[in-house]
Amino acid sequence: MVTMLDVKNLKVMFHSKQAEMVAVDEVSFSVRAGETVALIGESGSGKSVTSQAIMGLLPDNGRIAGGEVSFLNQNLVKLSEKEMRRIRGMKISMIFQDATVSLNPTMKIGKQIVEGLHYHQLFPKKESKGEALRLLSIVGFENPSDIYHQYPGELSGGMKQRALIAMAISCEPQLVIADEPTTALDVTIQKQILDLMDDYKRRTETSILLITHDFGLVSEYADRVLVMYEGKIVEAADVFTLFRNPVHPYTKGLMNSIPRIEDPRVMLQTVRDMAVQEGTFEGRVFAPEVFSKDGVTYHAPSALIEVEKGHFVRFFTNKMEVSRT
Amino acid sequence: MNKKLVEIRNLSTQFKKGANIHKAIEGITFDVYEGESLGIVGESGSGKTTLGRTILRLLTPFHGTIQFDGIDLSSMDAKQLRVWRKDFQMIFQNPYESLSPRLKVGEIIEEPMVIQKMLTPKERTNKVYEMLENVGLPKSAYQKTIHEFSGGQRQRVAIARALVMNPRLVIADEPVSALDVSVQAQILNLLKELQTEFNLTYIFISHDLSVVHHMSDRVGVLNKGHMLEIAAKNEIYQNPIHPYTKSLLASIPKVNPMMRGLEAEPVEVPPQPPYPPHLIDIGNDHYVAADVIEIQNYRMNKQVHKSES
Repeated sequence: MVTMLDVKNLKVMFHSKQAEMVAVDEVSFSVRAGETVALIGESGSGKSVTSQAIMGLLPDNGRIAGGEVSFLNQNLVKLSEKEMRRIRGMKISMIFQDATVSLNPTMKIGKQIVEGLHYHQLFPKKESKGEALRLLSIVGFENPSDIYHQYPGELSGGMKQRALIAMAISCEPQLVIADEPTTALDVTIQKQILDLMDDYKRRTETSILLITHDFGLVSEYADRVLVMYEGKIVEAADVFTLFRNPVHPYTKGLMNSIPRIEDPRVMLQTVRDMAVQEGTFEGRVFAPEVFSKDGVTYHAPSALIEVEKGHFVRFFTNKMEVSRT
Repeated sequence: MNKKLVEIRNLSTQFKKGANIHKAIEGITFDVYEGESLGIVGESGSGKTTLGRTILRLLTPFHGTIQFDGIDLSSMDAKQLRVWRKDFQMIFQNPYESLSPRLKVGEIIEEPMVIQKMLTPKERTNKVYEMLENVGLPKSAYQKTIHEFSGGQRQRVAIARALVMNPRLVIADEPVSALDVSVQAQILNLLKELQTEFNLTYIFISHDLSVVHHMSDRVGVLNKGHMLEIAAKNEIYQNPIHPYTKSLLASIPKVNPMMRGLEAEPVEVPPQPPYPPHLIDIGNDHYVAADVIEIQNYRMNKQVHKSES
């Protein structure tokens, strides 16, 4: 299968007036054609920063400090903003959590879709309206011509999100990055939207990078899963392997902290409980890589280690470097 | 079963928007028993927040009664209500909006006691420290302001404030929706511990069916301002009758990739009638707005299950 996206050793730094901090580090993964890869983590894990870095949309105080982002063998990190603009929306498109801020409130839905088609010069002007109507019906609107003439403010949250998907697929992108695409929506609408994206992906061999905090969505829609914690991938595997045999205590903690309907537990297990329970890693499971004890500073480098075929887990390696302070 | 703490009868709340009247909730009837946890699930616009606020009389109902321990709250004015306020408290989704950013955490927790003129200042301070301990916050939290805390810790402060008056009823409106899953688990565990410790009665409002299932003894389903079905948790999750309840349950993502493709057939939800439904008691403490055929189907299925087992 063709490798669509290949991220190697990505490092992203953010700077404030005083200092620079690492937001994402040692992140490597690939997305193949027709594959849904989920990036799961909690707030601050670096999952959204990773997606912004891929799209070249980091905020002003962020920069890519190292690594490569190859899209069909082209390193996106090296491209100018102008070159990037040709790829964004055309070859890679993005769906954000909040459709309200992603849509222009003063422009009718139809015009916004047509504008994207014109920008990338995909359709002659005369045909673009027909194409916009076709896209609106693909995303499940029964009355595309009504929606075409409506403003975003006239639509419900789920309808706006569907309009956004219509725009995201309008240029037939090869990769769609969906950053919490349904977090703001009701469960019944969430299912419709994700089924829609999944169906589109299957028909067109589009790749999806799904960024989410929700293990339920991962288990329903992802082919492979990357668990992020504090800017790093701590576990990576195909979805069946990960749910059958989660290894990293953070992954286990996250899975056990979700209430499930078939599950009779009275109390949920939290990530913290898990860290205490699995203290066998010399109590350093969630410890930072650099830690001090009795005036001695230890560096414990970590690495992703393959525990079974295609299943990688980040461990602290045995090699410890000691430096006195 | 325990005694009834709250009896809601035919409750309606309306909002006027220019010449339009928006019926946020209409014809809601249910009971809450002492010491239980009643879950209310609904999607956005279902009226679940309005329902919670009306029961606590933060809103004035247009119609219907709210009996709290035998006393009718629905027609009381603000002054009469003040005496009762300490008995029912609310926990909101976003503690940053519901708690003052200017006050110290200690003052936030103490404030309800000051308003109710309870205890001496020294006793109040001790009570605050006791509450901080109950919700798992360090003593040092007293002197801090709310913005120094993470989302989960803020929600702990909100819980301490709600419980400091020893309320009998606590309405929690999406208390964990803004939190990360690992923090969410901590807060849910805390709410359960405190319920046992202080013998609290909860109305737990959420859009998240898994969270409601975890927290509740009984569950009511709200849609577009109407209560459609209410029953014991296992009964409603295993034998839902109303098509809307079925469609909600079918939409929950399964946290197990092996169950992909085993989904139930999508459910056709008929348009909701404009008038509030009359809930039919089908036994087993299960009330539902359903037509005769749906109920017959349900009974037949039950019989089949019985004869099989």
